[in-house]
Amino acid sequence: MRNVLIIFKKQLRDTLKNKTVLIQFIMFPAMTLIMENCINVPDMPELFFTKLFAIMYMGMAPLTSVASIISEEKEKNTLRVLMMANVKAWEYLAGVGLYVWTLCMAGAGVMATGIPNDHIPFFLAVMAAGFIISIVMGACVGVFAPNQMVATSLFMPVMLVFSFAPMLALFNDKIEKIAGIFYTQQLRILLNQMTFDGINAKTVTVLAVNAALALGLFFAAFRKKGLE
Amino acid sequence: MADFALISAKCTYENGLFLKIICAQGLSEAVFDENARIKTDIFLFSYVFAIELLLILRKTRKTIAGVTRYAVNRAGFGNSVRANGNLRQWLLNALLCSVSFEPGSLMKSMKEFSMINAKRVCKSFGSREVLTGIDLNIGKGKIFGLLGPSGAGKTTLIKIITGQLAKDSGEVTVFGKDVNTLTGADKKRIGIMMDDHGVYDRLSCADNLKIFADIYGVPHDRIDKALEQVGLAGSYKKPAMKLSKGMKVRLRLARVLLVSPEIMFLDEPTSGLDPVTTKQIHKLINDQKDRGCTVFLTTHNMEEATVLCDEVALLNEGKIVERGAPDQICRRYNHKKTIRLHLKSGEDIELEHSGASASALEKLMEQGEIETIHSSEPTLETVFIELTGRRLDAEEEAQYA
Repeated sequence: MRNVLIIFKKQLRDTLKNKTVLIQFIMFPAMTLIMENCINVPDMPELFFTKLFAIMYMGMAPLTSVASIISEEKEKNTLRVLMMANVKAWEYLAGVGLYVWTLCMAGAGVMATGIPNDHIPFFLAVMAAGFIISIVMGACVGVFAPNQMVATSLFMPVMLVFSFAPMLALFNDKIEKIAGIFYTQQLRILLNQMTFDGINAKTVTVLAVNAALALGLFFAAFRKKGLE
Repeated sequence: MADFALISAKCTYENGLFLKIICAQGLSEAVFDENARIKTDIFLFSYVFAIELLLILRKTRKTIAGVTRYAVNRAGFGNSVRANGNLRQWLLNALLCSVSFEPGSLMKSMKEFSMINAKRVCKSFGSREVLTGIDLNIGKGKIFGLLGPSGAGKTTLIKIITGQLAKDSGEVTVFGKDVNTLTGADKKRIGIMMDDHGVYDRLSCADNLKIFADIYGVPHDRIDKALEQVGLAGSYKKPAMKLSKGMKVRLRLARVLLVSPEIMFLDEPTSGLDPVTTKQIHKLINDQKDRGCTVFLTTHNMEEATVLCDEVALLNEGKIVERGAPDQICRRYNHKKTIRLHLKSGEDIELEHSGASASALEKLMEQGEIETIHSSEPTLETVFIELTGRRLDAEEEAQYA
């Protein structure tokens, strides 16, 4: 556990100086605040931008940042140095995962400032679940990719599918049907309802299958490539 | 329990020559008082045998005089030794006898001294054999240099010894333990600086070291000391990305020094550095040796190996083709045995190592004719060329051609 916190602290120091990753955490919460406060279109659904950007944030930030962090460490061989200093692979991954999850939750907290207080726990719970699945997917890419360039070419299509499919589903029925199999779309539906009562068997099944697939791919990638 | 104080210790074990050294250097100079207690410097003993003796003392709860009798009696030649009446000889025999009746413990002690040991290590990548039957034995406090051209298998061997890469066959022990069974605590006694290991570019030098200080449980005040050791005290807050190549190497070295390791693996530590930085790094490596650290370094720079290493092994196409102290190797391959003179007249002459040359040399010296004088011993590079027909930097030059 000590090493997990050391990795967490290291990432915190590093991210403050890493604009590429830092912008991932700041962009959507900042855009949400700006858009919600500046744009007021008649008949626009309540909290439209918050819900839209929340799903994009969920599908984009954790996935890209985890993949970037792991692949950068692999490329620069700093990860190998950590491993030789007796940091276990699970400690490293848990440290990075915990750090990204915490920062994303802080971003979600900022996004939640416009939400009525009684809906905030639900919003944060949905975001927390989505972040976890995205983090595992990002770890899959990070573990599989030998360097940042490969990681970018791998996470870009995955990230686009998961973060933009729910938005495109708003305008196209066929896309909505297909997007239904993605965790981001199911969580968007939940956010629209803003109540735990909205959780049904389909939602649970899709989330469970997505999480299981992400975990399965992660373990397959880890078994094949390890962390070095 | 005897009044036995282990003041300090030094390993004198070298490739199986320990008995000889003990007899010649160790006990022959030991001094005892009338109560048969050790008064003199323990340096005079082989550490292996001192440990043996200490173990027996603890086990039997006897004095040194008592344990000698115990050992001698158990070995069965008490009468002959006692008849001699020489305490020094008596103790020597007792120690040697302890070898006879405690072979297991002796082997254990010997392994402790052999900090790194490799036997018949083989490694292939696909059909390409990279290492074929490598044997190594590196004692405590030595600087060992693995010399060879690029692609000879140096980094592969270092990776196998440090447990980063699995071997196909053979045995590797570090601290007397199989490298694959090293615990976390063991790993913290090893410092590794590979050529391709990076630093966190965005973090400052101090922050880079803080991460590893936290991991190793080293107090943060050691960071200043480590940076000072490598001459980076002025770059405490400087981001690593703003450091020059030489400074980055020194930062990586500081990361290794932070934990005061007992074994350091340095892969091409001065590759591509300027002579001043190289000299600074050589000094740092020598400082580590002075505090008892064992250093395993790979290089293709034979001058570096000659200056730094106590022992070198020349690696070519996965095989060790020669090993020994650099000057010994050079003397061994000194076939010509001549002296080259450059005279003030501009003339170069070569004299043989013989009595006949002595008078000619004396005459030239008296006349003050000699500008420079050199003996004909080969360098490590010329030895390598003689053994393999290849130059140490041949591949590298080809790469940049």
